Amino acid sequence: MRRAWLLAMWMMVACGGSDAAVARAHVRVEGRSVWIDGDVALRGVQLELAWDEGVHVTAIEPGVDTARLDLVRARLADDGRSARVIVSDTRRVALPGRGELVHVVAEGDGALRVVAARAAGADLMVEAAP
Amino acid sequence: MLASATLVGARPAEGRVILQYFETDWKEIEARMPELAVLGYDAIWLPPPQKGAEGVRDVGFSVYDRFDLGDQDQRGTVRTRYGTRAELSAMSQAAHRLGLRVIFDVVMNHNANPSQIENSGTGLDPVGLDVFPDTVPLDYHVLPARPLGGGAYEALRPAALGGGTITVAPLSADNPEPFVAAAAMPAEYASLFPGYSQVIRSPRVIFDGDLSVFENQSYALLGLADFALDLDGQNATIPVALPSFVRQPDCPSCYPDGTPIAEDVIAYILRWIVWLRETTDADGFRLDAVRHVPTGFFEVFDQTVQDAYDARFGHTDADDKDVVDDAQLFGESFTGDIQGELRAYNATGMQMLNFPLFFTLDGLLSAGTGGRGDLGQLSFPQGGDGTPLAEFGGLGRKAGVSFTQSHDSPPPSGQPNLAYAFIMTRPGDAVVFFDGNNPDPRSFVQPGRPDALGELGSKIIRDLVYVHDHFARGGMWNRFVDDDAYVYERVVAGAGATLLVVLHDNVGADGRVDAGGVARFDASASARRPLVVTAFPPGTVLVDVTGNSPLHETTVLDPATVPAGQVARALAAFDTASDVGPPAGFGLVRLAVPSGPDHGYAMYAPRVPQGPRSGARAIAILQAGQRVEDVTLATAGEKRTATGTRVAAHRMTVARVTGATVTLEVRTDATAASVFVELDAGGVALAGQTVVTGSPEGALDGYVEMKPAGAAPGGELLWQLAGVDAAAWKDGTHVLRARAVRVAESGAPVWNTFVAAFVVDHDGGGPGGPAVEPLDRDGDGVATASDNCASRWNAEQADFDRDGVGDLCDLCPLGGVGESSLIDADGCRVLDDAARRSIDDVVEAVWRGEADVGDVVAKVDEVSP
Repeated sequence: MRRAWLLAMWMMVACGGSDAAVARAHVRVEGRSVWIDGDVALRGVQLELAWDEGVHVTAIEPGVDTARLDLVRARLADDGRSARVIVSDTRRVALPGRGELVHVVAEGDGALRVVAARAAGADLMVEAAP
Repeated sequence: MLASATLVGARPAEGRVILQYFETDWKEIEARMPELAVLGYDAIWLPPPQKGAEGVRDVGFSVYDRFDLGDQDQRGTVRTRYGTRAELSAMSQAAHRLGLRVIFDVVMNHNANPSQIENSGTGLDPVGLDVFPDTVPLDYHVLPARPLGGGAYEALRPAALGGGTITVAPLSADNPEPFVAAAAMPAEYASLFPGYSQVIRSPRVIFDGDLSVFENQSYALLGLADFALDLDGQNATIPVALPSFVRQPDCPSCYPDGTPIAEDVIAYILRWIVWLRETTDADGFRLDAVRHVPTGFFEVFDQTVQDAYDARFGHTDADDKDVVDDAQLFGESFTGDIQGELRAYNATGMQMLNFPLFFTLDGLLSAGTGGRGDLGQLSFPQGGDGTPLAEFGGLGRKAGVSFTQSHDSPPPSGQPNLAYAFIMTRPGDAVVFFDGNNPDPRSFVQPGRPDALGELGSKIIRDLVYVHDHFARGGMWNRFVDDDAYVYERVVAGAGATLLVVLHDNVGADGRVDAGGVARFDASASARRPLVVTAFPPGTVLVDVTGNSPLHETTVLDPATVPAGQVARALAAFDTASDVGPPAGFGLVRLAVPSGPDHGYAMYAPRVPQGPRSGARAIAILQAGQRVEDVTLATAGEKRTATGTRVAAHRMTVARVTGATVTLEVRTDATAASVFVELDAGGVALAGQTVVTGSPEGALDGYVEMKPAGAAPGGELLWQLAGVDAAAWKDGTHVLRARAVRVAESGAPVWNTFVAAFVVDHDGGGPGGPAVEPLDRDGDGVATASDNCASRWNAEQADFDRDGVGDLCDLCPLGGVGESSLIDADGCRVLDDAARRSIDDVVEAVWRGEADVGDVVAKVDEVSP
């Protein structure tokens, strides 16, 4: 298991007059799932995902804990090796503070990574694989 | 008052009620365990627990890695569809603590590719024959082959089917996939099959052809990777010995003595099932697709499981096939052939799912029959007190596990409740199927009973489980049979009758249904209700436990007081129904039963002791002379049924014990002769009282007797156990069962069971222990008891529409019908099109790199109400 915490990036985003940098959350990858761990209910998260060459991604879906959100979108890059993902909700439903954000449906060998992440209204740390 | 010595000794309800509980994660099942205990279920049958080929979306039947229970990063996920291995263990422990058995579905016939079996949509690529963990291609039924081009292969046909060659091509009947599963021929065998460089998976079993036993057991069911469980050590489809090698050199703990050893695939499967039983502490297994594996394998398999089970619990009984002190094994063989195939597999040591009865019920009670089926098919052969292989429309009580729907098969479309009424009152085990949080009931898994846990205010299944547990005891005897009505009784040998059931399958306008919608099932068409012979003695007052019959109570008549003509008609009807004569000292009873399709049954039983007339809970827990406070447990989130009906989140209000010493108090009406109580799975000497053992029917085994504590106002009785040491009770959910017993007029003991779930919270929910379970299941800092979304982290408890369901769990976070003109297909209020379009415009800007998620949220705040 990946247990080494490696701070890859701090992204601070001020949004809608909210108090940025007050709350913090971690984003991490486990298998083909992207998880969030924090103590704040965010209104939106934007992820930049990438994966190894041997991985063939066919879909990016809401996670178990974001199944009720109505704005989970993904756009795959033309090279098929990365994607930008938005997790939010048009009804102002907040994200779970902890839980599975998205699930990547993929086949093949290789790692999935979060190379960048930003949140509306909070700091977001990305936990990278060792 | 009846002496307790007489009561220690009533026999238990015969058979078990098994809840087939699918499509739900382990955590939620654990949370709902107190509900299952209160309802009276005896066991839960859960889906295959290992990692499936479709990863986190695999129902479990597409076996990928048998030793991955949600703790290895494979097929794109660590957790299985149902959770992690730790969550699985916690669920199993919770079941055992509350006295429920745990049965897992297991698949021995095959490993599988995701696209070839029962998953709703697939996203992962197929698994090659040489990729499944721990196995090699020659562990499966494969054929030597060589490519012909276009993805097709020429393969050597097994000698058992005449030899020669066949062509196996993609998208053919033999191979419905767009490719032929192939692997390289192992080098050591190349010289045996010159010119054949590959092996391919044996062709698909084609059920509409002339199926030979060889094809059934050695070809690939649904195109799956079929294990070569060939006891002679030779692969049945390719003439080589089964490979033997060390399969898991890096997992010593996967081996019984901690040392990896070489083994063939048969030994591997046998080792796995012992490992699985021990790892999950399973009490049994439902065996998938047994007819596709030779009986000889199961003779070894069944005994291996029973030996492991006996070793775990120290059982020494010599009979591993009597379902007493045994692991419960029951196999699926989709056939009605009782005397052939089912007898053969049953003889290996497993019970069989009662497909013959399933087929009979389906034929009788499907919508197309309109009640015109011959209900008498359920009445023979009459089993009485015996344990025959075949009885009452299907397999016998020891051989079969009855069901009327499952994850594979829907219930009879016309009168499903009537089907359940029969299987729950017939001798033997019965299954209720619940599909939990089924994400897509249009595909596999089939929809289950939405009311299996009492949802939607329905009492149908709840009442049937109650009848099964309390009155469906002893032998079963026919009283009246014709094509529209079936009356039978359950009678405890040496004690007396406990239950009279009347089933009726006519529906709608029918000459044998009167103006009030009540069946006139006597062929004599008397204007009065017919009289039926009963083993209940004259004077017995029988009560319809289901509440279906307009004749809620009926008193058994003395034949000597009934006109001779009516007695003669009743005896003549009895004579056509029964293989034996009328019971000694029989009475006559007048019955009424509604017509179908929803409530065509009534179940009459003697009166049993009741709880307080006020409706208060019968069981109280006192600390320092005061009732302990209540807390509320959130056990399940909101969901929708297969037909779209919204099911509210579930909560239970239960007592909360914090002290080291408690008093248990039960309040009954004046008919209770004695009251016995047990904690959790029983066997606890509460307040130092002797634990009952060896009671007839085992009904009170594990209980301790409570002491009379005088009368309460209104003539009710109080029963107590004071000075109960609760200090050792583990923090978490527990259950108390109290049985209030009387002896019925028939001579048989009858009882009512009061069940109370409660939580122990010695440390007040503070640090240092799990505290009240599940105090904070999602870890969001809000106690589960008051969390508006108990399964998801939502510390802020947002609930826009103030309906009590947190937005993250709410199907309609903005509210539902009636609150807006903008309603979606689910009846939920939604944004108007212009608002959605403006948000979509910002999302498009994010894709172009011209905006980010903060802009999306800002736009939502601007346009959302």
